[in-house]
Amino acid sequence: MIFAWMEATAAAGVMRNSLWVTASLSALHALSFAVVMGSAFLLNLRLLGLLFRDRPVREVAGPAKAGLGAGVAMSVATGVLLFLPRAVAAADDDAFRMKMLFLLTAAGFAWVQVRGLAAGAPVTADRARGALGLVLWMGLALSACAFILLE
Amino acid sequence: MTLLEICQQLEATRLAEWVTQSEWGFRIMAGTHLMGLGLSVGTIVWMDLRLLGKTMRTCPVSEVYRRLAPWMLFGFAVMMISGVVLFVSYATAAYENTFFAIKLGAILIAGVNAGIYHFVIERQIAQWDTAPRPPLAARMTGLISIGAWTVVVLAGRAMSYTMF
Repeated sequence: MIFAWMEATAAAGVMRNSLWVTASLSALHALSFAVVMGSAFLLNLRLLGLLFRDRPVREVAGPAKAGLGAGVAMSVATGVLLFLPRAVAAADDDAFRMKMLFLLTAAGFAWVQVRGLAAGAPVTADRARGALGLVLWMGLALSACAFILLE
Repeated sequence: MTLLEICQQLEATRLAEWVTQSEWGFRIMAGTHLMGLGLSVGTIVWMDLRLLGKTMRTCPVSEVYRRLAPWMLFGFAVMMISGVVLFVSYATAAYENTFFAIKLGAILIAGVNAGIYHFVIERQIAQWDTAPRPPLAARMTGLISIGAWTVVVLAGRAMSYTMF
């Protein structure tokens, strides 16, 4: 079982034995949460026409894409380490499963939203896509809160 | 009355009792605090990055501020109100917590920094509003803001590991 193996790794042992390592990683995880949510708000509120309405979508989506990339990378890196010492229990937790489902769908959908940017193709403002993106990232945020507050 | 006694009285209020004793009080307030954090700090950072000349360089600084302001202020209000409720509920533990002191100090720095920006630096904005890279004083306020809010988030998370 992969989760049992994760709990047996040396990194998991370090995490279990040091509250400071855990707390520091958790603090960085919270920081990356703010970066992810700020970028997700920027991108999707622009697509919804609720923010920077009179600026070109690309001007807003470009920085948002960079912010999402950096924020998700940092939150996944810290999140994986935080997951290690409690892999079996977390993997069995409904809120955690929801969180992972929202992470995959929100990140995947964001990739679809901005994939035309690198190639230089114009991204049209699309309220429906903005609304769906916002719902997915809010779902991630709420299930993340549920995971730490309901256990 | 000492500060500690005031904290003890705050903890005896019905609001504090609801947060600490009920099944959902703490969860609702902590969840609201985190969502407010995502909205406020998440949007404040974009204003700071524009001041630093790192993003949306073709959009005037005043416009970036005007568009982001409602979201920053709403998120800040949500975070502040839920934060005060959480403080009232665990006032004595927070009072004795080093990270809470660090967090308050960083919030103070962020507040003074925002005040300096609005009342001093922004007065000259006509000269550099459309500049891709604003002058040093404006860039400094952006940098201090990012630094202060980073400390607020890190110390806030550390509080939950050291208070309970």
